[in-house]
Amino acid sequence: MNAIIQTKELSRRFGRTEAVRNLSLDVPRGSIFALLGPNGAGKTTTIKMLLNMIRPTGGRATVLGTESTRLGPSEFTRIGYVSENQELPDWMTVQDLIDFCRPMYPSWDQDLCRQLTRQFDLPLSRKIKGFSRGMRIKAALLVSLAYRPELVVLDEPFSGLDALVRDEFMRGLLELSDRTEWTVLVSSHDIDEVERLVDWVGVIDKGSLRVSECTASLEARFRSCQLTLESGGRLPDMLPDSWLLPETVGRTVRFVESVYKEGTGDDFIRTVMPEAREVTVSRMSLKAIFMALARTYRSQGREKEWA
Amino acid sequence: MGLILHLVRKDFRRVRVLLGIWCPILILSVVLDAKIELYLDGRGPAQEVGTPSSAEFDLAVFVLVGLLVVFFDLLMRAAIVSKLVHDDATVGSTAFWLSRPITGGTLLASKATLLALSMIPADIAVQMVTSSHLTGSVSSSEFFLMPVVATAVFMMLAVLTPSLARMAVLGGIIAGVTWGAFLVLSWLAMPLVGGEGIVEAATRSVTQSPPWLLLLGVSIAVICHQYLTRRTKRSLVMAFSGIPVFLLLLTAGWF
Repeated sequence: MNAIIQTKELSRRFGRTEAVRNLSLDVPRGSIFALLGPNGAGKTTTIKMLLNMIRPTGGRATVLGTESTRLGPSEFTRIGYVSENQELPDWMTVQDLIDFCRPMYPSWDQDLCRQLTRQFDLPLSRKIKGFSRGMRIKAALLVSLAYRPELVVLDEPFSGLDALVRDEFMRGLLELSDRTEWTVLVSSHDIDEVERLVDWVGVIDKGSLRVSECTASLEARFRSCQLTLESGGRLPDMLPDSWLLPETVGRTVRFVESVYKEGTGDDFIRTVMPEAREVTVSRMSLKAIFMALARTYRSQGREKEWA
Repeated sequence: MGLILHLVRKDFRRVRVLLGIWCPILILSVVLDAKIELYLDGRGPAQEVGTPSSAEFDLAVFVLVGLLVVFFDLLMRAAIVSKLVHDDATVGSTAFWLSRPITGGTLLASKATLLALSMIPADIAVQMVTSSHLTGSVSSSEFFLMPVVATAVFMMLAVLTPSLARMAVLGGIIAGVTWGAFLVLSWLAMPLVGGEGIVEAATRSVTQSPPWLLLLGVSIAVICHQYLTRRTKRSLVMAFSGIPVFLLLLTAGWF
């Protein structure tokens, strides 16, 4: 895989807290990669280490083929970064911000800049100070895309945005994606926000990467299964590790199969549970897969705590 | 170089109003300072017979107003430096410049260029013109050193903090520790030089150049270190380790 971002056992401690633990991740060139995880999972810390905003306490990362701690102006002219936490020069108008950023980028595309300004409906003469959250994010995105970066990093760009603004924002990104050769790394705590956008997903939990896979592969191997047991039938004591979140309501058993194989999956279920009848296997949305994984990690965490 | 000038232009737009407010304060401060010197040298306005207290009253007013103006001068310097530095903070990880093709060295060069083109020449020019006009001679090098030291110290405090409020707190802590240690050293030196001798020795110490030159050097070192590495803890250690050396130089002649 041709990776634009690679990390190897990347770690970061803040005092006694391990925010990111031995994170090894590859972001394929040309992908739109969603880094998903609950709040406090380590997404922002990971991104900040990737962009040399904070130093790792262990491991290493390369971005655009350069060690992250050595990223310099030549790399930053190829990276666009937008974050909910980023401070913008509030005292500037949008036009001032454009005039400030333009000379730093040899690849600045003034036509694209004009188009984005129109698309995002940004008033050029208004100061950023008076902008709403959504407008600020749009202004940041404008000056992060107008130079056609190879890599766009978006850190929770949608949190707190209303549905309409989020939709506009998403449509803008999708339109650009059709015309631009770029890689996008977008972090979010909610897959709903990025589901339409992404083709690759990484799930991070308590500072560790749990899944990194293309969405097509995830959708192919995850299935929601429901079956009814014959009267007197019971759930076996040992279930396959790939069956997540098993639950029984009366004689109905539900679980999520995480390594489903088309053609042989149903047979496998019947082999494990011979008393099963009326087996229903249905495809899952990315959101449902993410929720199943999140609930599994949470219960595993609880088990560890109890142990 | 093009990028440095681009950043200087951006910063100048940001601080030009504050610079405009500060310049008259600076002129007033230096004029009052020179006036006070004239009075102390006995070259003030001729006193009328029978009104011996008039000149003393004028001097007292000049001193009080002078102190107030010096306070505002320092306040404006701190505000200008804070705006200049905190807009592109070196502490934390949310500043806009961190994700842009700007290195710490370029940013430092742009800030230093703006200061070198605005505040420092203004300081030197105003002091040279007013002092030579009022006293007939240009003051000594120490006279020019202090504003430069004050500006450098403010910049050092600014690069170690994310805001003006935090800068004031850090400044207070460093000043408090230094002043406390200075008082302790004065008390220890008292048996050696006597009660009145210590006042004289302290006055002589604070008017010497070497401690202030050291303070300037430490401030510049901390500023450069912080801009080039953004390792705030190390920079803080550097800043605090300058205190004992500064005190050593200040009190070297006492023991």
